[in-house]
Amino acid sequence: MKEGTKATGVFFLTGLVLWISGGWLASIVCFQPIIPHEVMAENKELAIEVINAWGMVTLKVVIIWALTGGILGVVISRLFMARPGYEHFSPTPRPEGMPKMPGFLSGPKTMAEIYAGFQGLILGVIIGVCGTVFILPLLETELIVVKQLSIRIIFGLIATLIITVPILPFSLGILKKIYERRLLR
Amino acid sequence: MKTVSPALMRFCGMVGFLSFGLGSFYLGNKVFDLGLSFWIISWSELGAKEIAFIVGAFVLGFLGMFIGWGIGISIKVRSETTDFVISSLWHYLANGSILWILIWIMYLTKTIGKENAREFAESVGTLPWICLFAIPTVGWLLIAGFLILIGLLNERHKPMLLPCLIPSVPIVTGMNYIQLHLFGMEGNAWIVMGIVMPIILIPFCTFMIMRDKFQRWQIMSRI
Repeated sequence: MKEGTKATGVFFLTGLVLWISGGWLASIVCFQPIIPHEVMAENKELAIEVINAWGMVTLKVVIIWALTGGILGVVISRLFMARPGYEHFSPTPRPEGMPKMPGFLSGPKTMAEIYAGFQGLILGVIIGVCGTVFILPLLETELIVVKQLSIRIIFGLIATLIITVPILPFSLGILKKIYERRLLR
Repeated sequence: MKTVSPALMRFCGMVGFLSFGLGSFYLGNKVFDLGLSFWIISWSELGAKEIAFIVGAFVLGFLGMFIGWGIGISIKVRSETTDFVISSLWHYLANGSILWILIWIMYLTKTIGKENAREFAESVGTLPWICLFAIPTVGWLLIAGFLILIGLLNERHKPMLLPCLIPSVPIVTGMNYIQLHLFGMEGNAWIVMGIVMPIILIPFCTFMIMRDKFQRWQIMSRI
């Protein structure tokens, strides 16, 4: 397999896995059953039917979010690779005496990571908010409906921030480990 | 002369053309009491006097354009980055507006038909027609500004289509939704137009911005 394809694949899978968690959360936070809880507590069959409907909605949301996350991962990889050469070798400024954190927690290491990460984050937030605002209502069923717009926008913003930020450092970390292992062989 | 920005020159030319052309049309219409409507002009119903008046407004518009070009050339733009920003904003504004108007005219002609066009134009009022120019002006400037701000439009490298589409498509889709409802129409055409317009415009603007950069280089290397 070509090196570029492998790197793109790692970015795709990282985005996919991270956004699966976002899709799963979106289906829990942004949807609600149309039937009140008291009615469901009395009628078990109806409750099972609602849970099944919610499960199907969750599955659809997870699939859509996963594919979107994968594509976003590829976009971030392209943005990262397109940064000018000198940015990949320019370390980020760090205040003296700042404690060193392990791995991903230490933050971006180069200027290219900062810029590509920022661009990816903005694009991720746009996709996330558009997804929760426009796509989720299309998945409503007779039993499961979406919650109010403000909740969906807030969730879309916060969740996407959390799941998009790590795509670049996680992917770079995985790629680093793959190449280190190859060197040790 | 060594610091001329072709995009700024074109922008000033457009301002000159519109102010002289539209200004003379508006003033002449009032002074000669012709009663011409800017939005509904039927050539078959026009007399020699009206046709001469419209041609005159065009000639004055072109005169204004030349004056505008002169003003644009005299403004010095030394920085390459500033020139790139002006060029990007100008091409998204100009080409975006042309594309917008072309696609909307095609859509209206297809859905309403030529025979009902006049009736439709009168029935919707002036606001949707003003918005046909105002929405793309504001929208495309907003998109270009945003793409520059987050670094996706950058003078150092060619912009990538997919990352540029992600912020553009939702904005253009929203713009089309507003325009469709201003015309009092229903349907899902706004989604299709919202996706198609940026796909056409972004590569085209990339090419035009590169051409402007080349023209600036040509001017600067010859003088």
